[in-house]
Amino acid sequence: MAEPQVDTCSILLGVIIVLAAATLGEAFAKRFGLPEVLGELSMGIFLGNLDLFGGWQFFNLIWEMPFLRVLGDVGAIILLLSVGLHTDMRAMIKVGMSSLMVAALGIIAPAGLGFLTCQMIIPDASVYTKLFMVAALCVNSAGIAIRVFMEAGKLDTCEARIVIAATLLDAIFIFLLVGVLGGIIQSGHFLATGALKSGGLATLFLLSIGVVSLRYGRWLGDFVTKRLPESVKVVAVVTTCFFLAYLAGAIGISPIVGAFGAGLLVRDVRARDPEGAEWGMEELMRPAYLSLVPVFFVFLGTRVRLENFMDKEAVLAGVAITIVAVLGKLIAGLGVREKGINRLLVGVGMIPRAEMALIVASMGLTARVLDPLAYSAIIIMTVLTSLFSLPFLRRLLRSA
Amino acid sequence: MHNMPTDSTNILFAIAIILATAKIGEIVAKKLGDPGITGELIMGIFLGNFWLLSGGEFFDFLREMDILRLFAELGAIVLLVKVGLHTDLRALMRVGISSFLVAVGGIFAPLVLGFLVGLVLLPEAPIATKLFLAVSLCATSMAVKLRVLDELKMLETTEGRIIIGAAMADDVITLMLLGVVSGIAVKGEVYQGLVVTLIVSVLFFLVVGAVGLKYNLLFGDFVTKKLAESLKIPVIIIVCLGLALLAESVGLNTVLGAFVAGLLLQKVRLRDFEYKEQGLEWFVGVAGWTLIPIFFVKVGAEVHIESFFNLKIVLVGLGITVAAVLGKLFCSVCVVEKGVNRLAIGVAMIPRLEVGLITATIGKNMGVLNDALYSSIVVMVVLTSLASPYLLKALLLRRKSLTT
Repeated sequence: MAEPQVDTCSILLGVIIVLAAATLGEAFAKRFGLPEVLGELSMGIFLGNLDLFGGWQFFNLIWEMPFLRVLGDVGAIILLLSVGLHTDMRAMIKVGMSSLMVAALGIIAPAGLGFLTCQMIIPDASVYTKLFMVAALCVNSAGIAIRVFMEAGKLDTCEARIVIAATLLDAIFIFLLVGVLGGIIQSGHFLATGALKSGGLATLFLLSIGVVSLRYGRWLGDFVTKRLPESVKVVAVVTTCFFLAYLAGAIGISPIVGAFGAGLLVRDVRARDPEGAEWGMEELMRPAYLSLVPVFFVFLGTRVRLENFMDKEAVLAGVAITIVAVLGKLIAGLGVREKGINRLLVGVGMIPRAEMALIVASMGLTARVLDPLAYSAIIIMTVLTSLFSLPFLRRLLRSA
Repeated sequence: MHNMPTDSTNILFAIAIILATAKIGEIVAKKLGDPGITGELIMGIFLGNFWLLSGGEFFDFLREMDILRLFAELGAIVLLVKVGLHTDLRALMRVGISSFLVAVGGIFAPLVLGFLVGLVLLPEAPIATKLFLAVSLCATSMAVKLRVLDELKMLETTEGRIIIGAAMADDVITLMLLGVVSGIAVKGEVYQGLVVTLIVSVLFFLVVGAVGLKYNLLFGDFVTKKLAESLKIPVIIIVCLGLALLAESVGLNTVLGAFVAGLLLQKVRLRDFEYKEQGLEWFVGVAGWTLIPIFFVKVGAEVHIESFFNLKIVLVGLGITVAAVLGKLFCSVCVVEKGVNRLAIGVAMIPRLEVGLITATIGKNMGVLNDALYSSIVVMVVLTSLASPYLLKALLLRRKSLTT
């Protein structure tokens, strides 16, 4: 029975180390004029691979703690919740056509290019392997680019809205696809009913969130603001967010989509402090944001194993698909229809793959479709696109 | 699936359920005029024993999901940080002899009575068990008192001041005792354990006192003025968790460290979006609103109602409830001032809540308290926290009608 006590200690220590690492990484990044996320990610990569440098296994214990992993996942969800809180649905619908185009191009371009590249670099791999690699090329990170937009205070621009919408649409589509693929691999044949069901459920989910937040968002916000006691409001928001995230995860689209939806729903909720001043939800969520989101990014970094970079073949394949990844999303940026919107910025904003590609890759690994070479190549592509596009993105944002 | 594994979303779902039920419990309890926390606790007991009523095992995750326990522990830490933030050590030193005597009497009497109950009803239990049982009776709930006194506009009366001062002192002393007792339980041997942990905890609290009194201004100023805004929150969290860790590793308990962190952080100010300065309240508030309910629901869910099907356990439960009530009524004797409502002070000290539950949980996690004992302590807490506000209201209102 002494075990739980030890547990608590190491978990406290783990949280402290992760937070300290994140803060340190942020401070470094700021010093060199880089985005904070980059600092957190590199800190994570560094700490996650410490055992390679010194044979020191201590940190690996931390990365394996399920509790911390959950905290990191909650961080991702809080991040998307705050994005949802910031998002003006109506403004988003105005650029809806562009977002759709960008999302479509963001799948077609990397998929086409990626499939060709796969034919060249791994010609004898099975079609499923290639499909999974292509899927990893098509999704892009919801978190990283958005965080850079947030840091620069540019979340209320058309470019940011298009990037967010297109990213989420791509993620939804690819996750549904990967789910169907997984089903085919498991059962050996294509189940049309299953695919239709999950597609239908996803559409229903999105539509209902969209309709409710557009038509009843105000009303919902008023109700929570005026009717519920202060201590219940925050909890109501958190509960809605977690529940929708769970629901989104359960029907096969990423949990973060649910969190984003929750953000849209509770935008208008206001809290009141004892002095009667009103607070927006963003402000109330800020402490959670500041403490949990860095944990997510540090964790994201630790999941990259640098061993992957040691195989020459994998590096070559990785670089090849990285080029495809960059080109594919830059082409996607051309899908913007409105004039005066910076297409390059939209394209670059969609380059980082980060957590999304990692999810697809690890799903492929568990389904035994991806061989180590393909997996390493995806990891390399993820690291390169996630790290090196950020300074560029930031410069674009500054000049915009 | 690594990043968003299904178990991760399952945990989110579990937390969503817990929070929703906790808040329903709280709202209902408040409507009925009971403390909100008690509502959360009862909801927890209800969910945890749901299978007894229905046969369904839907809520079993409450007891079995290990990660929830860690969230609950974080909740307990936040709870104690909050208590620390509200404990004004300087005011505590000024409250005077009555408060101090009430606090000491209110600890001494339940301690002795609780230990006696342990001796009589559980003769073969190890001494650490009896000690834990006794210590869990010593606590008193500040939150319940503050609310009732505030409701009756009694905060500024002599009785009110004595009660609040005594409650604060009570918290501090009980936490110290908790450190000593858990030290004994860990070491397994009474005298050596007692000496070592007594020294450690006295040292710890001396340092705390010094820090709380002398350096919290300095530290607060430093953090408020010297650190960048984005650094403050990580620093605050690291201080809280670091002190919790420190307390745990010297053989006390995480919650003690958290309490100290609260004392230390009292003067820290944050800036909000509009650059206005804000105390830590709102920051801790958000963490507290979401994490503390998890703690209380989890505490309730661990109660095994079926253990009360045993006559002996019912006796123990009744015994400790009686000891809890009588012990705190002894406080009435300790008041020095004349002409105050002594009985009201005694009754006001009866409700147990936060610290009592934390003691019980720690004892359970250490394996010192078994399910049955743990359940009886929680039920005692529920009973005292539900009953005493009514009694207090009745007493104070009667007295008021007499004097005016």
